[in-house]
Amino acid sequence: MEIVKKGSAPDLTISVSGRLDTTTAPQLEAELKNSLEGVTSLVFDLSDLEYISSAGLRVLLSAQKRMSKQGTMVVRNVREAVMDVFEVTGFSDVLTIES
Amino acid sequence: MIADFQLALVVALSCVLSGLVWKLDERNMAKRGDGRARSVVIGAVFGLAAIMSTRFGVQTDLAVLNVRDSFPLIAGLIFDPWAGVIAGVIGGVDRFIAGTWLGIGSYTTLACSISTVFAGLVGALLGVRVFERKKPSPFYAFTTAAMVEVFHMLAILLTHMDDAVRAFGVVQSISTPMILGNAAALTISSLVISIMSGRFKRGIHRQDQSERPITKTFQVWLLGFIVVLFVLVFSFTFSAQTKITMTNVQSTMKLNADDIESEMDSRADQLKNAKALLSEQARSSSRSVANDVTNARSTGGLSNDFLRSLASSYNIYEVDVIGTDGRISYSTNDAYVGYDMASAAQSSAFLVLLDGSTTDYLQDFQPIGYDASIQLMYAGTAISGGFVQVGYDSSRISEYESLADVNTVVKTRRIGQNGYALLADKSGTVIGGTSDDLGKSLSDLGVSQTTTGDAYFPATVGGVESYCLLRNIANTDYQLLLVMPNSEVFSNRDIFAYETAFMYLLLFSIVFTVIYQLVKTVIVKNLRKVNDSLGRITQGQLDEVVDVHASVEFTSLSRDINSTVATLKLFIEQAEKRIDQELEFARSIQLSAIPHETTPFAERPEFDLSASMHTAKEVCGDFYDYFMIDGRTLVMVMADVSGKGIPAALFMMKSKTLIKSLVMGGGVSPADILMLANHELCEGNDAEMFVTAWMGILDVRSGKMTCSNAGHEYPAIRRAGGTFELFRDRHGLVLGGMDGVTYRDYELDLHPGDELYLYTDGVTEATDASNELYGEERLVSALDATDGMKSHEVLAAMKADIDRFVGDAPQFDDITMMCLRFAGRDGFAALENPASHLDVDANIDELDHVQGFVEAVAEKGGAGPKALNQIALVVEEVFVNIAHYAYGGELGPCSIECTCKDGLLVIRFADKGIAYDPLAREDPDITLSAEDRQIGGLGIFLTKTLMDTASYERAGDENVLTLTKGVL
Repeated sequence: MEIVKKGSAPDLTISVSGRLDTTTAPQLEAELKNSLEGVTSLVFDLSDLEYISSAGLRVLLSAQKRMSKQGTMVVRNVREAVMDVFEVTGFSDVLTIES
Repeated sequence: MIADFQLALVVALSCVLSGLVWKLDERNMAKRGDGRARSVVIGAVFGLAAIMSTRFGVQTDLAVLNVRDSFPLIAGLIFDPWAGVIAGVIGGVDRFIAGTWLGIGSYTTLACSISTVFAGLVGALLGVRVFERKKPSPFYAFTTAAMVEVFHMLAILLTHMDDAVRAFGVVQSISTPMILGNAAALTISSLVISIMSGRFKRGIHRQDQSERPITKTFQVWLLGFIVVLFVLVFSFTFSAQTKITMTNVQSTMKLNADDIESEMDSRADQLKNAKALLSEQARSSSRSVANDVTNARSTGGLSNDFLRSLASSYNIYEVDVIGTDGRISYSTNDAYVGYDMASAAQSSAFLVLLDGSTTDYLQDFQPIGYDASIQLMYAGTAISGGFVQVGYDSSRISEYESLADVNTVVKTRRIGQNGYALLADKSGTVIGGTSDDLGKSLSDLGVSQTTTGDAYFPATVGGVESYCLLRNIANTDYQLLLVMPNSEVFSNRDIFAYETAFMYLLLFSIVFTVIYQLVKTVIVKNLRKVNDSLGRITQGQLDEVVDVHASVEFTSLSRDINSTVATLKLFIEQAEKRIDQELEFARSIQLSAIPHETTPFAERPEFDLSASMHTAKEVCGDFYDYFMIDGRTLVMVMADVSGKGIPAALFMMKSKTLIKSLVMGGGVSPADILMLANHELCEGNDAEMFVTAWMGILDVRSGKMTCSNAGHEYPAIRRAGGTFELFRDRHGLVLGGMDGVTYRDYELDLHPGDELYLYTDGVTEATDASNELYGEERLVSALDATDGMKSHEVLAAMKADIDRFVGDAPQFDDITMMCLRFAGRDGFAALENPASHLDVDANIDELDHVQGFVEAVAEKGGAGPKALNQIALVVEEVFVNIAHYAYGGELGPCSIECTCKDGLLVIRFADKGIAYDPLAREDPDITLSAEDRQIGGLGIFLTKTLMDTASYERAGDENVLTLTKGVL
């Protein structure tokens, strides 16, 4: 998994590529913990994210929870395989997903 | 002078004609090539030119000057042998007709006709044999034409042997202009054409001896020798001939002088005898008359008339009777009567008869005392009372006197045909000879020599160069001069000289040609044969045998060369053997440097690797390498050095060692290693060799492989269950090509069942008999046919397929291959039996492993990408759950069984942790908003949702979770 951050507070875009699973999710979680200070507009670019498991969903959900308090969060460019998981788990309703 | 000018004009015209014909011929040749028609046309053109030359020659006194003979020569030497023959025959026949029936130059008809035909033959023969259809050089053109004309002149002399002097006159007047004219015509024509064809080379630059053909050296020496010989022989015969001529002339002159002298003597004798006879007659007549007068006196009948009758009867001119007083008393001439004999010296001489001292007196002819104009001879006889004298006139003796006149002797004398004789008196005044010269002095005529005997000398007498004999006739006051014009003296010698010179010239020309020809056939031709053979030997045909046996020398030369070649062959074979041995050593060293077990790493379950190398030569430039740097990292290298043979082999050893040492020295990634290797190889790479290389570093447990390619062939890869494809990776520059180049790494993740095939261009560029390449398509399809084989079997099958394709064609390049079959950590057994189970520690580090295991089974069972993704997700959720919770943070075992039959995937997770049914947990409410959603429970929810069935049971001390899903 690779995490690329673009921009800085208050507008931050985070691109996540590869696999977001049990082993890699803690990295993203740690990254978010340090990066979201003062961010009011967070964008996740998931165009290169091939795989997501519940561990990844948890990180996204906690990010969503935090951003709901301090601004907005948008998820973009979700691949089909990931979108399936979002849909099965109801995340497609929870998250603001843009194509 | 005018004749010379005309001739020069004709020569110029003939050259223009030659140039013109050449130009047309060249154009025609380009179109139609040469053939019989060309010979006939050119022959006809030059034949016609020869006819024109005959008809419009330069008329001289005796013959017609022309350059007819040069036309057949030009046609034969410069254009075509047959054209020469045709032109010669046309010109010759026409000359014969013109001479015989048209009265043109009739005198030399036969000689001229023959010579023209001869010229054609000579042109053809020399053109083919000596000049080998090349244009003769100016020197040889000149000589050839001159010799043909010499033949012409000789022919004139030989056809008029019975009229040699006239023929000689003709030859003498025409030989120089004819020889020079014809020679000039041929020479200039040849030059003109050489210049027009651009092949004219200035012959001024001296050829080095080593560049000169042997025939040329022979020519020069032979020519020099023959010229010297000719000069020697000719001057010897000429001087001998001159000597003989002089001797002949001198003896002729001497004989003539002797004749003249003896004739003069004999005539003088005749005169003397005649005179003696006359004196005797006079004396006896005088006595008879004295007797008659005495008788007549006694009878008294003495009178002048009586004397006249006596004179008449004795045939005497005059009779006188002189008395004792010394006076004429009676006379046949009345006027004399009374003449006193004492009055003149002549008559007084007779007075001796009166004193009685003598009775007779005879007096030679002399003018008489009475009248000095009359010459008479008197004889007197004493009688009593005086004496009687009788006189004879000169008529009686003049005949003899005229006979005795020296003038008549030399006047009519001819010395040879045009020579003559002159007689001079003591003072040198000509007194006998042709009337023109009479009275002149010898020195006026041009002869200043004097002599006491005979003297021979050349002198210009009366303006004519002559040869002379001057003789001082003994006991006389006469000098005799015999004169013969040089033209006559040397006529025979000159004819002879011309004939000999012409003969010698022809003879020597023939000798020259024959010797030259001999040298060419005997030496040069054979040398060329030897040389051709040597040429083939030099080109490597060591089995060539030199087979020239033209002479002992050539046989020996051939034998020597053959034995040299045989020895050489032996040495080469020995050297080859030695080199072969050394190459064999080199090969074994090279092979020992390359790992070459058939099944290396047989103990490793994760992969199956094999490599092979088939060299085109004893040593090769390809190499491969594989080695493990730790328990789970396999390094593979496939490389190909530019070139072949020993240099490539040495470079290969260096490259291979270098790459391995860089890896062992802690190389980070293939790209870095290749970059460092390139840097090292570039250093001091004077041979400018380079090497293409592919390198991969594989984690044999995860299948993760980092690769880099330095200009090498694309690896071929087959994903599990699929077909081979060339993996078109990005190439970097070849190693050793340029310093400072960087390379790029790329990842190639191998999954259980994947196969990797590496090779060098010897495979794709293997060539069959019809020069077709094996190529990538054949490679891929042959690889696909190896499904299910072990790696060393794959290589054997590939080599067999390549061999089948190549057939009998020779192998040009090394064929090197490497095959890797990847099985993953579970080994091939798990791969081949997907139903088998996996035992792992319940640790999330093993997640990849577990996922890979299940995915492989599912994939083999036909699961698509979407299903595989869902399966991977479910496996993660379940395994992570077990890892996190089953053993409460401690490590414990987890056993997974997975099968996929008929599209139904069954996964069974078993752990020995605390009893726990995950399915019992309540599903999260997925309709809640983000703020209200619980973080957790999603994994099991996903498992239940994404799988078709999920069931839990506690079996003994194990939690067993069984999931099923239709994957098709």
